[in-house]
Amino acid sequence: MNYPVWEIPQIGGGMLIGLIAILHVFVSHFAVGGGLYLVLAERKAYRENDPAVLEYVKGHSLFFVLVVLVFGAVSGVGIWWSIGLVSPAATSTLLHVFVWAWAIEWVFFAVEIAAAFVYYYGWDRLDRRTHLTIGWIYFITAWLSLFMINGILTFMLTPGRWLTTREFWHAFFNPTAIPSLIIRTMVCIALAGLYGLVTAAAIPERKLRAKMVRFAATWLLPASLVLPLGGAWYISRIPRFAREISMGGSPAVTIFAGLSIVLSAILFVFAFFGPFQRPQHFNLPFAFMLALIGLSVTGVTEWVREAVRKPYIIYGYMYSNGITKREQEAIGRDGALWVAKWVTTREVREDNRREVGRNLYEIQCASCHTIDGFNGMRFAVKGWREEFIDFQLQHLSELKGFMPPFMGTDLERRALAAWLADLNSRVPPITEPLAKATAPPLAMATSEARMAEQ
Amino acid sequence: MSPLIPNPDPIPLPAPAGLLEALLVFTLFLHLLPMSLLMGGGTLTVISELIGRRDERHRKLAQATARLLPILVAFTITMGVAPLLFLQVVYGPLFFSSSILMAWPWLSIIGMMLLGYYGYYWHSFQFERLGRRAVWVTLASTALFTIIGLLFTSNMVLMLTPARWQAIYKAGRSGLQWNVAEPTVFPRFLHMFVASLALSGLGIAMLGAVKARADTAFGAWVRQYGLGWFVAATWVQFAVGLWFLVSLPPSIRGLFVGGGTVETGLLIVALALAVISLLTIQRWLGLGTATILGTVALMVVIRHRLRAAYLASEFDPSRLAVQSQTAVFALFVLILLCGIAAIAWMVWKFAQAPSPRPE
Repeated sequence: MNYPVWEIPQIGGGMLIGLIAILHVFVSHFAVGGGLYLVLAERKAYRENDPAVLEYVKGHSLFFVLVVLVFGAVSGVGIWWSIGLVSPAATSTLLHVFVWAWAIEWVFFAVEIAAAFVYYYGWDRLDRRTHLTIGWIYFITAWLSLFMINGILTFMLTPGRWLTTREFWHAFFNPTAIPSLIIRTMVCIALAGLYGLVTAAAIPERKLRAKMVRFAATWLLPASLVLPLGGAWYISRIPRFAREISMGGSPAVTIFAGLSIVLSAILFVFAFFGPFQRPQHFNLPFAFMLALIGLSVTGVTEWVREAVRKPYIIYGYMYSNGITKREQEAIGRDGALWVAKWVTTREVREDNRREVGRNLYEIQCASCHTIDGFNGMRFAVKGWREEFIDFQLQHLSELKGFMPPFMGTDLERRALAAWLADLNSRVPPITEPLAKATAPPLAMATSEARMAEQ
Repeated sequence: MSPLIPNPDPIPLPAPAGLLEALLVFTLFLHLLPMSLLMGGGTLTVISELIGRRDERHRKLAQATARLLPILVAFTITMGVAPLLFLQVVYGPLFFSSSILMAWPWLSIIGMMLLGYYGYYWHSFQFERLGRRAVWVTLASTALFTIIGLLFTSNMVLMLTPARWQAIYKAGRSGLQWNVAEPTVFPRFLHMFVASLALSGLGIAMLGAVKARADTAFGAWVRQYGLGWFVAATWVQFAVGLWFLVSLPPSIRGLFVGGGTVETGLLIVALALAVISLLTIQRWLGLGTATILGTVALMVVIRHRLRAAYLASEFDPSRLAVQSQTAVFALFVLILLCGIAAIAWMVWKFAQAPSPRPE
């Protein structure tokens, strides 16, 4: 509304962010836990005076560098890129509330990257103690960068007292920050084990393979105890409506939440009876299967975490479509087209209702919906008469609690209903770029608007 | 003022705009150093690899520079995060809008970065095995990073020209605009690219000083070869810079040729430092390097003044509401100092340790 809209055909913006984010989460949590795995495995090699273990750790560290430093770092930047393109208003909020937190995170990130390089290139060059110390610096700064991001991420679902005080510390140490930190830390440790299983399973020598497989499998065990407790604590702190959505309120979200628990349980059972109890029978395909289950758990869990935040993107402050509660009031007074910046018209006339409808779709719906793809509107309103669509729009937040209310004047709402009804009518609806429509140019509309304001 | 520029964020800036802009300028300078060594270094590595098929010295040089490229990518990305952060918080309404208008090219940077980065690693670890094919890997990665550079220039120009947004948006919401045809984009990019060749030449000259410890003749040659690039590229830069200056809209260009005291003064000093560098670098590498780094630093400041000139009637950061988060800022400074100390300690330990591979 305040920003231009980027229409991503078929998958929509949310899915785009999700695809990048899930892969990033799966790697970045390994980036943290894997640091601890490296130092403890290295220490184990020194204590047992076992050069074969040390060789394995060196190999694992190359894998670590290639996965974490390259994919982890770049995909993290990728999330930042994609949220700015899809949800600029929310991104801007997070930057304004947390710029120093991001800056602090950047310092930890920079130290983390430097430490990873010195660690990797320092094998055979640094003495053991220094090398281990650098490994510890890596792990600690990696965890601290998780600590920073976690505070910002949890703020979006539970901004807590910040909503009234606007205090940084209230935003950062919000109600779910600590339980989420515990969960994520445990996930980091479990993922370190999961990736460790992959590299351990690839060891050619049988005895060493069994030894390292069992070592890696042990890393999955603490999570099986701590995650249920952390999860329960976390769920007790999230908004009531968010809890209800994930526990029956919305079938899709409930199924995914259930999957998250079931898949986690399967993962731990397999890990316990497989590599932990019988490391000598463990092999690479089994390791990849476990990693795949791990990726699925990451995917469904992150998806649920995002889904329960609806109808907000920042709970109680900004709706999923980037409109703040304050803007909602202004829209109630002046109409959506007058508050928005990137629209092609500000007036609703008999002859431009479809154009108005299209504009309203862009500024209020397109952040979650597409026309023909994911969450597609054409399918959603199929068989609905215009009057029925209009009725739905009037009661959106009551009928579908996870959607923001329609914001705008009666005329605007009816125009949107007409445009939506047109999607399935025989008249080809306006889905092409607006340049082809008979609309006044943007500047004309906006300069008229400004004149009217004066 | 262009009516499409989004309203400033309702949440006040967490520090005075001046402080955030100073950090933006300073961290951009820190980013441009590894970025230049990456873009120019990649290009020079490709050239040396090609010549190296017949010339052993070039082959050795290419092998040495290629090993540094993945590390330079990491430095460039890491140092790039900070200026982009400060840019987004101060200039968000402009930056987010222009990025959305060119969403696909802008997002494709992530994919290209990933491919280019893995390409350099592949090259670095498999140099011997790749043999004659190695150069194609370097070339592909370097091309990707160069396109990324062009896209950055393109977006940085688009965010300064809101008058052009409307026409782009009218053509559709698909985010397929490249903006590379805008008349200042190419000279501006070329200006950066030629600078990257000059700085990489200087970097190679310094590498020569290191190599000279083990092999005096080879080190001396590397030093001379690198300086050759530095001197040639810097001379070319006078022409390219002039082209960029001429390509600017007349009202803005005027500021840098007498119209604005600060702008013109900064430009004269920056050019004078570059001339001093050219005259001294053969005899005194340290002095020549210091003066050219002075030029780069001043150019970053000039670039910021140029942005302000573009936006004079559109967007004034100093008018944004401010509510300082002083305690968090102080914490950032403290953590930054600890971070610098930690990195310095690690690098010192690494440099001190004996190299396992005598060269």
